[in-house]
Amino acid sequence: MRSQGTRTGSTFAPGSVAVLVSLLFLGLLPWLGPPTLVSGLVAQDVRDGMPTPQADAAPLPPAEVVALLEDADTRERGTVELARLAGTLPADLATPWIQLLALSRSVPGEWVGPSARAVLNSHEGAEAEALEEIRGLLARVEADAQADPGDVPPADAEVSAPSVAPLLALAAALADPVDPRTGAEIRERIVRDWPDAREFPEAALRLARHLLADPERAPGGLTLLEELLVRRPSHPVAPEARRLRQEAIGRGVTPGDAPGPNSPDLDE
Amino acid sequence: MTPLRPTSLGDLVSACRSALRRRAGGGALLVALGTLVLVLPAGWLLVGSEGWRPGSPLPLVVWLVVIAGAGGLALWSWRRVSRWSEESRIASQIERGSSLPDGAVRAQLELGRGTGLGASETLVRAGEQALMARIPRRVDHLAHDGHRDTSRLLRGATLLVVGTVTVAMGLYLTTPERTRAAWAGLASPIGVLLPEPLAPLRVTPGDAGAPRGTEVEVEVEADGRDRVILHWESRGQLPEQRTLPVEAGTTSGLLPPLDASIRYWVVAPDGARSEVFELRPEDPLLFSELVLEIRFPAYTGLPPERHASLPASLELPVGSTLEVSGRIAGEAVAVELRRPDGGVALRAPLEGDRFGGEWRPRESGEFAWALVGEMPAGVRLPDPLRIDLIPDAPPLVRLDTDGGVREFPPSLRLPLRIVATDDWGLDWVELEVVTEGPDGRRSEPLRNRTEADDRREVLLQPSLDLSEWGLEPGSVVRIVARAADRAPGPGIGSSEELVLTLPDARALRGGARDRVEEAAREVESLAERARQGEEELRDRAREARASGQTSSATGMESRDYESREALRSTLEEQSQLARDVEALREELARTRESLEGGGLDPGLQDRMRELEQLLEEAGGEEAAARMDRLMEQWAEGVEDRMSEEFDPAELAAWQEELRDRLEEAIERFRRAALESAFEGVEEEAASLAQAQDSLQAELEAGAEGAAEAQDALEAQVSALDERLEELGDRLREAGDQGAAERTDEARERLDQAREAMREAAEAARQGDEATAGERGDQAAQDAREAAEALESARMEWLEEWEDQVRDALLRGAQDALSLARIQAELREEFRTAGSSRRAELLAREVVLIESVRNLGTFLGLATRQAGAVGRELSVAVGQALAAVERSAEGLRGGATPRAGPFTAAGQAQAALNQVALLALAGMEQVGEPPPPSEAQELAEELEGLAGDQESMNQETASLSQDQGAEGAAARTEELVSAQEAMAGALGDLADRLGAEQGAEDPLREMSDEARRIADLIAEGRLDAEVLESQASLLERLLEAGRSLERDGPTEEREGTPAGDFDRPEVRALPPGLLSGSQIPLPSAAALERLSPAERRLVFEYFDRLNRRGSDTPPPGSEPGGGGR
Repeated sequence: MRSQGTRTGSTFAPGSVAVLVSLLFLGLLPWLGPPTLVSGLVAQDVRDGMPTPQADAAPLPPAEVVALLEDADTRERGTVELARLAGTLPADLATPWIQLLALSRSVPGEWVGPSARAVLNSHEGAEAEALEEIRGLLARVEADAQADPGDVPPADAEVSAPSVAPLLALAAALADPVDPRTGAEIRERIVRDWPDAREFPEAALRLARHLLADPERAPGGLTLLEELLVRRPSHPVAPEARRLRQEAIGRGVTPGDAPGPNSPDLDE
Repeated sequence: MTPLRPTSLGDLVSACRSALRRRAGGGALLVALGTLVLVLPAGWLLVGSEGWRPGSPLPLVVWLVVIAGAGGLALWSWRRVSRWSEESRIASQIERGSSLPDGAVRAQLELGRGTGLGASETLVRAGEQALMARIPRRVDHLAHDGHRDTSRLLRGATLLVVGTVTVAMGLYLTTPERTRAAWAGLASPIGVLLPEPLAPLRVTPGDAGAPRGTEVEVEVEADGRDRVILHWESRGQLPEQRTLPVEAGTTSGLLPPLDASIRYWVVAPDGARSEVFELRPEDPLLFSELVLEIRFPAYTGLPPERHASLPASLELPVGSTLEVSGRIAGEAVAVELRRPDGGVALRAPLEGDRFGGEWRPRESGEFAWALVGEMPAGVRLPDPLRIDLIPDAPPLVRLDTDGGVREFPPSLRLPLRIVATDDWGLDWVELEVVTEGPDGRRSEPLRNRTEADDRREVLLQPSLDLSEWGLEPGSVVRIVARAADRAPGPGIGSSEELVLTLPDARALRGGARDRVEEAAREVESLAERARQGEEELRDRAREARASGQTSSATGMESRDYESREALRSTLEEQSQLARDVEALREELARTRESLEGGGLDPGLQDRMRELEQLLEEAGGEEAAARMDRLMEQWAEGVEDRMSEEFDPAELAAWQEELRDRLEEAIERFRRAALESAFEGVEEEAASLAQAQDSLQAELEAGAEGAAEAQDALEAQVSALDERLEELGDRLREAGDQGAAERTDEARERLDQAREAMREAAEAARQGDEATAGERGDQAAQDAREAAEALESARMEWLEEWEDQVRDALLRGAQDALSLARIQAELREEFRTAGSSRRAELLAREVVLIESVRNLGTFLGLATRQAGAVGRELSVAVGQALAAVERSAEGLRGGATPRAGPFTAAGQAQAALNQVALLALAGMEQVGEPPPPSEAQELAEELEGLAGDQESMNQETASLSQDQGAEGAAARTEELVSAQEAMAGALGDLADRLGAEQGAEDPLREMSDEARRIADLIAEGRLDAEVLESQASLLERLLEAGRSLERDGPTEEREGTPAGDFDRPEVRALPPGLLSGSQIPLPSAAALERLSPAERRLVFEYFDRLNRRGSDTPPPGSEPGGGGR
């Protein structure tokens, strides 16, 4: 079992109950892990001719997984190993890696490596470096987009250009332990520029929560919650949004200006 | 007569005339009447004491005479009156009666009709008035003569009428019978003239023999006659006759003693005559105390018969034995029965005066009696004995399919119908099945025999199930039914051979696809029925609550009858629904297995397997079992004691679950049905293109029938176009606009192909081969492009769907991660929060429960069509939900947040992470075939080993011929190593599958064999034995692989005996059953014990049974009667 660094809001001390519980989780995880997941992955590897990882072999360490992801030739295998790794980590630690796995499904391959590096940094406790890594990637991506819009006609640009919302969401998640304000700013970009993205609901929820914590900006947060509920009334985070809204109204907050999306309303 | 008040002379004359005519008319009528009545006494006079003779014309003549007389008299009377009523005579009589000068009245009448020139009308009228004043008022005095004559007429006629009536009445009163007879004849003179023919004479005994010297009584039936005459004559005697009175239609008479033949006949007065009969004197028989015993062969099952006299003829089954015994009058050596050719069939020696003998006839014929010895006088031998032997007929067997079909359905199950009949009884009935592969190779016959227990008619309805026989599509199945009777031989009858074909691959696929489409519709119907059942159960629950009926620990309060019946009816319907779900699953499984048997379309098989899985998860079997249990309990009357089981609300909730699962399956079924329809049209288009290509050569060569063949293809294109149109509509309904448009494009191509086909056919008919070939080629090109367009449309459609599902899964993964993070934050707060914050944290945890439910709903909707992925996610979401609920429950129960709730929250977070991982993994699985099963993997492995072994075999063969060549030693060493490696691989495989060492296991045996071969090769043996061993090992490897993959027939086929037929108990049918008589229903008491659904089944069964009685073929031959 690897050593675990300190993370904001959570402390693992050797011998503590949390450690024992974590060990228990580790023991339980094989139970929770689906056999079909592994068999599906095995089937994947048989198809592409890569060496087949044995189902009962230990997952690669995170650093090796990231190394695989950073190399275009091994990225596919890296994705497989990433899934195995994420399935064996404790819940708190697994979430960023799973987010990385999801990101790998929806962004160009060349974005995956730096994103993985950022997650690794965060995993090892270097949250600041993690945030820098991801912001660097964002800057490069946006610079590339501005420098070479490509042959895509303007009318199709929004449809064809890969969405940076997943990167933004990852960046926001990595920024939260370091600087919540930075995380809010990043989420503001998601809410404003990517209202149709999959990342919008959670980004809107967390941004609204951040705004509601500031009395001056609370009205904006309330408005944003209402915007979220109108757009995605059945979304899984909608109940939490309703709860926050009720709470805010109960405190006397009234709707005000909020960072709203640029595009027209779209039903879920 | 009323006074007359004429105003003119003309009127006066007219009045007189009218008066006279009236009187005369009355007189004439009376005359006619009186004359007619005369017919009665006339008839009395003529009838005589014996009544009218049949055929007598007298009644008719009397009528004619009387009518003529009446008519004549009436005419005479009228003519006389007419003479009286002439104007001149009346005028004369008026003049005489009024003492007027002759001609005065007549002159005045003339003047009244018109005055001449210079005559004064006034004077004429004055003159008329003067005459009128002198004429008396009574007209009867004016026409005196006429009045006198008419009075006479009236008097006479009246006297005639009165007289004849009086006479007639007098005759009736004095001689009523004669009078009635006379008048009856007069009432129907035609009937007297043409009487109905009488019945012919019937004479007994007719031609007969009687002992010599007896007086034979002849009886005659002579209806309608009063006497007959019996005539007879005998040789050497004068003919005689005797009149016999007939009473009540019969009579009898004795003939003289019968010493010689007498010919006799009977004649009736009406001319009827009988035949001429002959009575022959008979001497007594030679035999007395004669006993004839007939023993029938065992196969007839007939008991022996005993006759005390000799019958004239006998019909006997072949194998019957006759035993004759008796006594003769006199002495002789033996009594014989002789064949028609004179040979002795039976010789019964005499012992004293008794004889006896046994004989088994072997041929039909007339056998004459003969006496060996001196024939005594005054006796005679019996008439020859006619024997007809009835050979045993073989059984008649009829075999057919239910419905007369000649092709197996895709399920490869076919009900058969065998009817076997025999004149004496059946021993067994057998069904023989021979299969013939597409290559013509026949299997060994498989037979299944059923004992018939001597029944004369047997009806069997087995169901032939070939689904597990591994037959190839296009195979032929030949079926024959045979039956044997119990006769020595035995007689065996066979049915005509029934030749059935298995559907070819295309038909199997088409049938399977059609089944999938039907299944989609059926699932919707099943879901609707489940919904209705759920509603009804909820209604029952509401009614129960509204009426205050509650469930308690001691049982339900009694429901009223209607409620109970309503509930039971609902339960029965839902029980049937559950069975229907299970039946649908089984039907899909059978159809899929038929595809497996032909190794067809793995994609379609996978799709069907997934649909079966959905139905299995819907829980049809479990639901059916539960409902059956409830119905049994209801039948036992325990529903009141088992409140929980029969609580409508509880049942409704459970039914809702079934409905949910069925509705979840609907989308997947619809998708599968669309996909099947897509594949079907694509395959059809490709097939058409291929057929057009095949036709090309014929079109170019101008072959006969090419135009017609082209027309037929064009018709198929039209049919395909309709299917494409329907498919396009369905795609549009499903929201797949893109695919629908591409389908329309394919239709356009097909339209072009059809046009080209039409032109090609036309050109072919006109003999323009060049144009026909060119247009045909174009048609083939267009058809191919249409097929390609359809294929690409289907692939795009599939990809679009897959992309949608993947996108939904990705979103689901991200949403799960969002919730995991929320849970993580909450969990952190659990760590530090005290009991004071329990309520707040509980509220947030409850909100998270709703969030997880939303996630589950979204993933369920999104992955409805994703099969296995959806199921796994559903389980994971359920686990996450359970964990969050445990956390909330812990808080609700008062636990400290940092204790149990904290742990549960961690589990929930992990579970939500797992949902995300599963969803992401599912993205890879969408659109991919399911991973190979263990059997498939093993089959592939064995196939690989077989390939290696084949290479080794070839190397061994090569080395065996080049043993001394350079490098042979090294090659041999390599060969040994390879063979040992093969042994090791097979051993590992055996170990992996868990076979024990030393146990009989094919893999281990093959491993040992491979090692033995390796040892032989290592010893330097490369001979025929090694080669043969290697070949055998290769064959076993291939066989093992094929048996796992079910890859079709092998050279050495090991047939699997057919399983047991569904064999109902063979019982004898009641006599007369198959001749249209009805089988009675069970008693009302028995029916009352059944549920309505069961009663309906019983009624339907008996109805079918009774209707089917008229369809059963009659027996093949009449069973040979016993001794006749």
